[in-house]
Amino acid sequence: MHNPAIGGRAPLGEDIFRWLCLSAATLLLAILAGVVVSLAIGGWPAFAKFGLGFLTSSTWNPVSDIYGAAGPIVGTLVTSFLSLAIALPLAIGVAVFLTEFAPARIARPIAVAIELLAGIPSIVYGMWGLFVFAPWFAENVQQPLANSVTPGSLMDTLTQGIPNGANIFTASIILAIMILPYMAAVFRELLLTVPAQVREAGYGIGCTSFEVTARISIPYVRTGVLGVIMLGLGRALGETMAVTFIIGNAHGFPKSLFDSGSTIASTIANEFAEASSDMHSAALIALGLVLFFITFGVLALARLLLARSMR
Amino acid sequence: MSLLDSEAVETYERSITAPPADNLVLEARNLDFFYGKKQTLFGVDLPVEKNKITALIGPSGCGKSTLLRTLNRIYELYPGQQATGRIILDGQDVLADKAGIARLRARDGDAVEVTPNKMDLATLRARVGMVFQKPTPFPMSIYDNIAFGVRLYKRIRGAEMDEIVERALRRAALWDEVKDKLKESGLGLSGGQQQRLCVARGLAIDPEVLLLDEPASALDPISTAKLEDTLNELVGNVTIVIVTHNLHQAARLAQHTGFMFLGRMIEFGPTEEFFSAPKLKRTRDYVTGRFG
Repeated sequence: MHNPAIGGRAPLGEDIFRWLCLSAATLLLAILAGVVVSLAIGGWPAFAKFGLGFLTSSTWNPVSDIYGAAGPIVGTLVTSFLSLAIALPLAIGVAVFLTEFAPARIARPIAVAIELLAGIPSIVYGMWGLFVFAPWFAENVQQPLANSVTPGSLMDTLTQGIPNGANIFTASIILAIMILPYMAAVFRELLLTVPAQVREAGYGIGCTSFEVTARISIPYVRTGVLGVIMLGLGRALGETMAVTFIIGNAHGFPKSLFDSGSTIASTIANEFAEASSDMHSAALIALGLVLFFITFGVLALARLLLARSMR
Repeated sequence: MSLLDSEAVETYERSITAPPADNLVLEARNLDFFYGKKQTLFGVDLPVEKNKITALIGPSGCGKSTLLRTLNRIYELYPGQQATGRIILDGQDVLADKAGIARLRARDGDAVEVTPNKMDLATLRARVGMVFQKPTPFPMSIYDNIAFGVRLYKRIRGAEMDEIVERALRRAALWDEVKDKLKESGLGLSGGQQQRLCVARGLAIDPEVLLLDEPASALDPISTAKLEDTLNELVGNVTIVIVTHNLHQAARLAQHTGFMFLGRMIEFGPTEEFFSAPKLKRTRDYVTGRFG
């Protein structure tokens, strides 16, 4: 039987709802496109003048208006991946401890504390890094190392630099400290999604905690693990203030782990206010576009790996 | 109906007809269980005959699953859960570690004679395997789902391992369905296949007892029938304790059946007598569908 109450409902509300959702999605895409286009236009003079050399040359000289961005690009990649390599094992350890070993009474407060840590503004980390950590590092790690390594050895090459604690390596450590709470919190959430019965089944055939964690729980959430890595990497790639404080802000190509360097974000933050010539501004905007593509590329790669591992 | 109202004053009439003591492989005696402060098992006895199927039935929340979870001490993963009593596996008391004996003495006095026994939990759980309500394949290939458990105990690889995997899958009646895709993920199988994979995984490590906690409750009728066939085939070779909501399933599969109610073992006996001539009124009411 036809129900007039159903037939009589105006589809207008439904149309408006659909239209609102569509415009929200469209707006997002439009903004994204707008950012890319304006970055490309703003940076065009630099690309036009230096060509591929903008990416491969490490001469960044505002005085003679010559800009090659290899230094900041390499600095960005090195600090990001190094911080990831430091933070990931720690994040896994924290998350596994909280889900597998810590009693609920302790686990909950720790989990909350970790989430609070993730909310500390980056400039606080940067200040702490510059005023506390860098001097400590210079005195207790850099100087002893410099005094004890064999000149010319690989270790010597890796650790050369001014012993002031402001370098690529300390910047990576500060970055690792910053991305650790994020990664640990998300990783914990992931591990909580492993069904209790699957873990019990592992214990049920006589696995130890380590075997359950390494062979069952972590593989169970492996697609999510990639997401955690990307989250950390995304934050590390774009992090500005903390890195600007501690990386030393030297434009050249970093020669060792303990050498001062720069990242794309720190270069832009340092120089944008003082960019005197048009070419200088254009070079900085072009740098922004490069960062955009690096981040985009990393995320795309993650998607690709994710799709492959799901097959 | 005043079943619950009368609980406080009622003493529970019980009838336990145990199989011959020589044939028992596993036995729970006077077992209490505490979930925090709340007691959920009260003096439960469970005799399990070797190479037979023992079914546990009873209304939801009566403690069937809890009883099962004490038998391999899987409950110990969760702090606050405690068992007091005796669980004897091949003459060894699996609860007789220091804390267990202390709890037993506090309850029964110093006269209790228990041989202390530091039971290694991983070994215990290998000897008393478990299959859960929902299928729990591990996130690895079908082959590795079975080989993983075996590798924990034996250094075996290559052809010898292939043989063990094949034998386990055949015993679980899964071999013909998966023999061409052993390298594919166990998560890609259907629910019924996953559950038989879990049975195969349990069998592969040659447990003395296999515990099944409502293994068919998440399965469709056809998969259930296949799983039951599998279990029937195993009678005579493996000792099985199965918790089920399905009285017909208990009647079809088991040689012994126990009826639990409000944390007590009310009646236990040979399945045929149990269903045709239950000794207690409460059991009769339950198996004839008058409550539960």
